[in-house]
Amino acid sequence: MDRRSFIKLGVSSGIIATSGMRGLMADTISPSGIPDMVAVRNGEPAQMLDAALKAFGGMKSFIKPGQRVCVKPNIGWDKSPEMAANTNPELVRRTVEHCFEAGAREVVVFDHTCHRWQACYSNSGIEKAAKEAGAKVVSGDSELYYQEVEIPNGVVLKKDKVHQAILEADVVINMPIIKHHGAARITLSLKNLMGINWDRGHWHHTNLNQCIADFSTRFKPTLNIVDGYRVLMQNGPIGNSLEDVHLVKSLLVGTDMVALDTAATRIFGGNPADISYLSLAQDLGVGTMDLASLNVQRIAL
Amino acid sequence: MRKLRYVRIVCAALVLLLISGVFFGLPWGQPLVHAQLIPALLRSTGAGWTVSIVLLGALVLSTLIIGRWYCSFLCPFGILQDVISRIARIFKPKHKFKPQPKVTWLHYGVLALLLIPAFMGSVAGIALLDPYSLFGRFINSIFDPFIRELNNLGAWIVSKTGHYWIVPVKIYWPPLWSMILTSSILLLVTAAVIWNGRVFCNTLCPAGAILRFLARFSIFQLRITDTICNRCGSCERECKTGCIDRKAKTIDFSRCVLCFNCAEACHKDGVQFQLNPIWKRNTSRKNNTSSPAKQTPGASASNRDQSSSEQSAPSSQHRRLFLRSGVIVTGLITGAAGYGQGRGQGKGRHGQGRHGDGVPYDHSGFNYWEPLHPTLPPGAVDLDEFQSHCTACQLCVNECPTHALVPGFLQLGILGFQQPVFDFSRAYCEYECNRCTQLCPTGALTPLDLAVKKTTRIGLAHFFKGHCVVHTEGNECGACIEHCPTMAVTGIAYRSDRPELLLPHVNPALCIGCGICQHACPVEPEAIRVNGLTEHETADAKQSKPLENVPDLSEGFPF
Repeated sequence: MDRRSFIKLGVSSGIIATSGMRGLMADTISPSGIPDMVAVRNGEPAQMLDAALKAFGGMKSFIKPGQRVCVKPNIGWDKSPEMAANTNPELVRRTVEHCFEAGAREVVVFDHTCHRWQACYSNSGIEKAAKEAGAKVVSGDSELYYQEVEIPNGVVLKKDKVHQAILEADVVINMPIIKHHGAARITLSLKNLMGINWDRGHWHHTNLNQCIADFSTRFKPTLNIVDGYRVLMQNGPIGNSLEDVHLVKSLLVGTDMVALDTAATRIFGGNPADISYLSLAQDLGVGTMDLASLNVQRIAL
Repeated sequence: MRKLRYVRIVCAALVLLLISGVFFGLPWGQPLVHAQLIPALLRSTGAGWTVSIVLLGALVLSTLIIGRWYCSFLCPFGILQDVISRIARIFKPKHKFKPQPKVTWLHYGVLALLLIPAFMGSVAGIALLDPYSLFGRFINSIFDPFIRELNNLGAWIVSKTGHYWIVPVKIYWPPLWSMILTSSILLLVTAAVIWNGRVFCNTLCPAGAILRFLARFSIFQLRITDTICNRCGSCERECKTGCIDRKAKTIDFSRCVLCFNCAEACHKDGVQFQLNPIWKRNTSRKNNTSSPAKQTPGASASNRDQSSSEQSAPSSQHRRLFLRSGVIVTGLITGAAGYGQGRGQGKGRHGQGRHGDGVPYDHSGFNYWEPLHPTLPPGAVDLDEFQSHCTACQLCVNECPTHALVPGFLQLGILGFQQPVFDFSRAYCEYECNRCTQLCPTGALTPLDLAVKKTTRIGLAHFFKGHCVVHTEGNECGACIEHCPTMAVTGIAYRSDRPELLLPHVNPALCIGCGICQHACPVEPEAIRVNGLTEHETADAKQSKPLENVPDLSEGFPF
């Protein structure tokens, strides 16, 4: 069974499971059934995640007992959680807990960091949070761990080296943070996947936005949890001072990376049309930027 | 007396482990590193001189009391030679050490030769043979990559079973020349050790030369008790400096490294600490035959032996010689360091001047195809001062968390041979790190607080537009922009037909020359590169503007 059929199975079994519980959850499930995307606002990270997953019928809609899960937050920079350069550690902790509650056999957390990985892992607070929740925290800093894969639908990126933790996992959970990015303007789900590949320089050299779009044709995470709790509004992706960070208190969860990134760009106050990789990914059939065509459930806490 | 050998072995093993540990990030051995003779001598004229003066005073005084204990207890390179010697013994158990010629003037001559570059404001000469720095280079160029390779092999094997508890580390191979040079020196020293023990310490070692001079005058010296000795030669065979003359029943204490092998070898416990005759009062010299057993023989042996009778020549003359020469040697080394320091004041060789906001940034003086000036580690402050202190022990190189520092070949000129410089194609100077500045035992790097280091400009990024992929290929890249920790590199729209293309732009007032932009640049050679400053400067800190148009979700989502 390949990854895609696994994902389909996971989602459809989730649909079956939740439809059975529809009566119980009538207040959160929209009339049309399972949402494509859930947007939560005005809560704490863990609380918002609980609400979002509940709308999907729980993490068990995505993870079957005994599966191996790989969680990929943004741990790219040697910055503390308040600086919002990396995914919120409390959100990572809760995500790992949900994975184990759904029966995951193991949860691996890693990122191919930009700064020195030990510093990023510890100062972001993610290593501690993930380990406390029971996850394995793995280095993404050694080429030994990366294996070459083909990207058949890529326009310029035809093959790439990807971390074996991703390749070995049954379920991949992508956990980006919404933030300003000096080069890509805003970094989100699609851009976050850059951290599972080895040779970033090649992407930059070739055509960054096209590579981001190409890569997402091959790697579609089972679930994307977009952290919009603290948002770095300027001087990204690293940030300069606390004045650059704004407390937005939002969370987006869904399976369609393009749709999620479109919604997140709107929250950020940007125009999705300006983000080149969104339309490029849409053209490659990765997802849709047309939020009106989707069943978006909005929750306020 | 006979137990002292075991005390020495235990202490030496501990010291070797602790000092090696410092090169791998363990803090406990740091005082031992700071107590190394040549580094402490250099540091006494630089940053952190107070501690060094105290340590130096302790070293000199203790040597004046009991001789060259330093060489066997504290010198990592000396201990390493003992380890090699011990291993060689496994293969050749019946090995006997032979008496060595004194070669006093060869040894002092080598020291004098090594001091020549000092007059040009560099310690490159001393650095070449300083035992601590040799040890450091051995750790950095040979031992460290070997250990890392071993670790990664383990990590890879373990990861295949789905476990990640061995964490892989990056292997940064030292430059080939450095590996070849260090391993050849090590091979030569190993050969010498196998041949006849501590040959290096009494012919080439600059620390050895200084201590050798002091040990001549030490108050207590190891001597053979004439009345006990039957010239069996056990001590001579065990003496790894070859300084024992069995027939004359004498120990040349200036060459003795106090390993206590002789004391243990003597079945009759005939090797003892005794008062150096030159410090005896004239009267005691006359009645030497009647002195108590412990103090007798130095002088009584002298009746038969010429070299010993020399030692009991008028003591005041010796004392004067000692004082005079001591002042000269110390003066030479510290003077060299001070000379470089004075030279560096108030001028930079490349004269960049202060890079403030108002200064228009001119990239035109730099040729893309030519190497730029190498970048010195933070805390170096000034090239001349740096060169007059750094003995290239590679402690900062080995401890640099990103491994961006490398031993320089001739980037800093012949006088900067092996001194550390940044290799930004390999890595970058970590923004949240000031480790190297805190570690340096020679005072070449001034300790900087992290906050100070974050605005210390060690170099300045230069952007070569004609080679940037944004310009040449029309590709969106932005690698340098996203990596810059001080917001000195930003993207500016520069083509009206392609508003999405952002061309890097360097704000020199904010740039600290950390090199992460150069490291991230995908072009070969990099289209943004750091030119090292010979005089470090202070950069401005970026002030964030207050946010405008922040997201407000109180009324619901904007989609």
